[in-house]
Amino acid sequence: MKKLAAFILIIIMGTGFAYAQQAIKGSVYEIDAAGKKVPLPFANVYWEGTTSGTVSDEKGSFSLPDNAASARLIASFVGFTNDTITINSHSRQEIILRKGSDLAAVNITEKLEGSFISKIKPIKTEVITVAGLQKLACCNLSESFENNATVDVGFADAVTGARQIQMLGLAGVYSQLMVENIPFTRGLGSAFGLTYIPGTWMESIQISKGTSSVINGYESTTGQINAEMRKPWNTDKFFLNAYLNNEGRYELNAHASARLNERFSTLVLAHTSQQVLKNDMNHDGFLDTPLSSQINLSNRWSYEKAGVTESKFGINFLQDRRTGGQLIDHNTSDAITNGNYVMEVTTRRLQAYDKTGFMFKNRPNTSIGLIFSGLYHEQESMFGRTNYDARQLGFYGNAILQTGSPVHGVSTGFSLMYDDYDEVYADSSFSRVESVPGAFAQYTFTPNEKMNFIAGMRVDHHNLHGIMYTPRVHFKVNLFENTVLRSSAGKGYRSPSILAENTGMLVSSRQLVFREDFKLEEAWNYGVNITQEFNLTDERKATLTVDFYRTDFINQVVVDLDEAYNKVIFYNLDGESYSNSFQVDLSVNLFERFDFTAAYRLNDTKVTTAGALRERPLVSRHKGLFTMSYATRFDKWKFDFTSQYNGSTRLPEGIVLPEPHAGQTYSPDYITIHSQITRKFKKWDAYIGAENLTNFKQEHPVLGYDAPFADRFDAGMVWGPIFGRMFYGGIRYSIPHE
Amino acid sequence: MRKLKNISALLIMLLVTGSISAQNAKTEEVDIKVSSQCTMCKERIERTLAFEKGVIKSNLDLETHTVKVTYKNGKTTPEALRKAISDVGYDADDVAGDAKAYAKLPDCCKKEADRVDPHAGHNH
Repeated sequence: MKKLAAFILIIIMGTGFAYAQQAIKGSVYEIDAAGKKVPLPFANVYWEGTTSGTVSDEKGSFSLPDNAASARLIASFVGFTNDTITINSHSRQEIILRKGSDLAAVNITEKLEGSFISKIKPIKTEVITVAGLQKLACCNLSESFENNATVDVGFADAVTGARQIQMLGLAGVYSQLMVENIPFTRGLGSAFGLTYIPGTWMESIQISKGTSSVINGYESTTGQINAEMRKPWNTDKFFLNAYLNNEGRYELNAHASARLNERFSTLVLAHTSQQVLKNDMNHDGFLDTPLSSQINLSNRWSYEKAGVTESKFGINFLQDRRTGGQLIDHNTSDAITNGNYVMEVTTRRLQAYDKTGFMFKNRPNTSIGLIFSGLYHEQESMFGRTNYDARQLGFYGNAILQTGSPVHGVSTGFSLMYDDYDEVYADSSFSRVESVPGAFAQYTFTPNEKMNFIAGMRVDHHNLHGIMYTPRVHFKVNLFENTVLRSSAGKGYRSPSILAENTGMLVSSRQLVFREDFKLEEAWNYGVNITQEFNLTDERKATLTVDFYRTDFINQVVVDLDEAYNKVIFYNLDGESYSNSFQVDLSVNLFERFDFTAAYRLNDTKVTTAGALRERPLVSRHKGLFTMSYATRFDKWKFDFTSQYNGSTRLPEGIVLPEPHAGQTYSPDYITIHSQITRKFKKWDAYIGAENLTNFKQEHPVLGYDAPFADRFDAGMVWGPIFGRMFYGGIRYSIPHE
Repeated sequence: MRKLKNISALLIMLLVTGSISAQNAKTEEVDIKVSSQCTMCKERIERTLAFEKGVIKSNLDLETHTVKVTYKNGKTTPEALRKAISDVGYDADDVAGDAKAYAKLPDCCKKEADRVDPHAGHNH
């Protein structure tokens, strides 16, 4: 236990910087004469080396604003041994104080649910934990949102296997995808980027709607998804996961970590994913899922000199190959010779990063953070008879100074984004250099623990598009003890990478038409949400959240599929484009180890295409979600059930659906069900599960599959599952550190 | 290809049956006296037993320091159960707790004489 506490270190560069001035909540307990845990009122709780502290209330509970200077929380009480715990997350902390002076007895437990909504953060943040990620033993980030109502995941097209997300009814590119607060899938990565993060590598995923802090940049118009990866200092010594499904995909994940000394620790992550079988369940001659092979390696390092410097650095390498199309009866070269449609994409990526934080002993509220990341991405691809080759050399740097007091916090800094793109599609070159230096300032006002106000502003200069001003505000207030109201308003910008972001359109006979030079995409986003907790009994809890967000585009690069069935036309928005999104979520802990959630989401998104305001195509208006999970004592058995209702979506004008949907202008709605059983053993876990139990499939997702070089060929009109029922199983084995 | 597909389906089936297949052995009960001190000990011992082969359930009575274990005969033996308890640091009937594991126990789970604060966990 002591070791556990000692090795749980702070993530100051991560959420610490991104969300300054959150609060840590928890309870202090003592062990009474009968060996029972009872609340300890009036215990002192304070940040080590600071004067920022509080006293636990009569129930032993406390709440304390984050402190930039310290990650160590000390709890003390006369006659008891002081207990120092290191905070590395905003989970509820449980501190047990013991009489006497035995440090060996330090005991911290974090109560982690599969997913929860942080009550502390000024920006509403849904957190999916490891427990949540394991509910669907999913393979990578793109498959991690099945039991989440906020993020919609669908296929970009029916050939490449690329998945795209949507938030607030808008394409995933309008939300910012980050890995530990470093932008991850900018530019070329947006096509397949979600598949580059293996499921077991992640420790948690934080999802926030609406604009986020200006510290992380001018993007994130509709929201932010941040994946926290496994940490070198608190993962198992060794971990192995093997996964297999009946469609012929297998995956292996291996992690190994070592603590070299008090300051250095390292972690090696290795992943491979292989699709080795050819499937064509809908008998259209096209592979339902491409043959693929991914190798993904990461080496992460952590250095910590307590209270002075912390540094996280590492390197990632990825190679991903996928081959699809009309390959059912042929190998690739025969298919090409025969004049069949073949899709091939080979991607290689190398990324290195460093995040360093400096703290100052005599200035407890001041810290400096530096983030650097360099990326090399190359992609060679062929879609039918058209080649698309691209290369991106990117650099990202962000320097943040955090200072002020716990009541008045100020963060300022500057950043640089530099990307050199070299893209050739067919005979056209899309090469460009984008260089965006910027500066920002953010003020956080926390008059008391109930209220929180953040105002931020950033100014960036884009070498091609000029100056961007990005104002953003966030406000949070605890209306009552269990009621939190949050609101946000702000602007977001984006510089589009048309080809990479519209890979789905490349798998069609649609002619790409670039009508004019593109301006930056620019939008306002406003949102409000309420989180209400109900205490059903002392131990049973329910949470209800209601939120509404609106996005208004000032400019958007419109992807017009309506003007002609055989063209996709890109141009700057001429008219209106907006999205309204309403969502309500209820999660209930009904009895011990049994939870369920029910959610409903309504999207109203419209955009002006072909001269008229229309519903955005392939975006479902209604979505419902229902999940149940039950675990036996000590999690020996776990049962998870997820069901989703997906409403119908508008199809682009001129699309002719095959039977039985011929003549329809909207896709049918459908229900999917996923289920999984996990059995825990002493050292390992085994899981089996099924996806898409209702076996619903989109009929002929490849339109015009019989003539792939004629003008009705279009694999980009995907609105539903491509595969039917799928079964999988796997094992997880881990050896913890002593 | 079809063959490969069938093989992977078969493997998954094996996984399923492997983890679900129940044995029809008779269940038995045994009472084991343990050196438990507090609720934390109860949690530790019951968790350990939960993941022992053949154990159906266990319940530790802190008043009598006795854990009642229901297990499948033929899958495990009272000796094996005592060994499992000993391995996490507790005495189980006449089997002394493993010294290394005992040293790692939290203070309140230790025997009075070994505690830093001899009063912790008891009236004072």
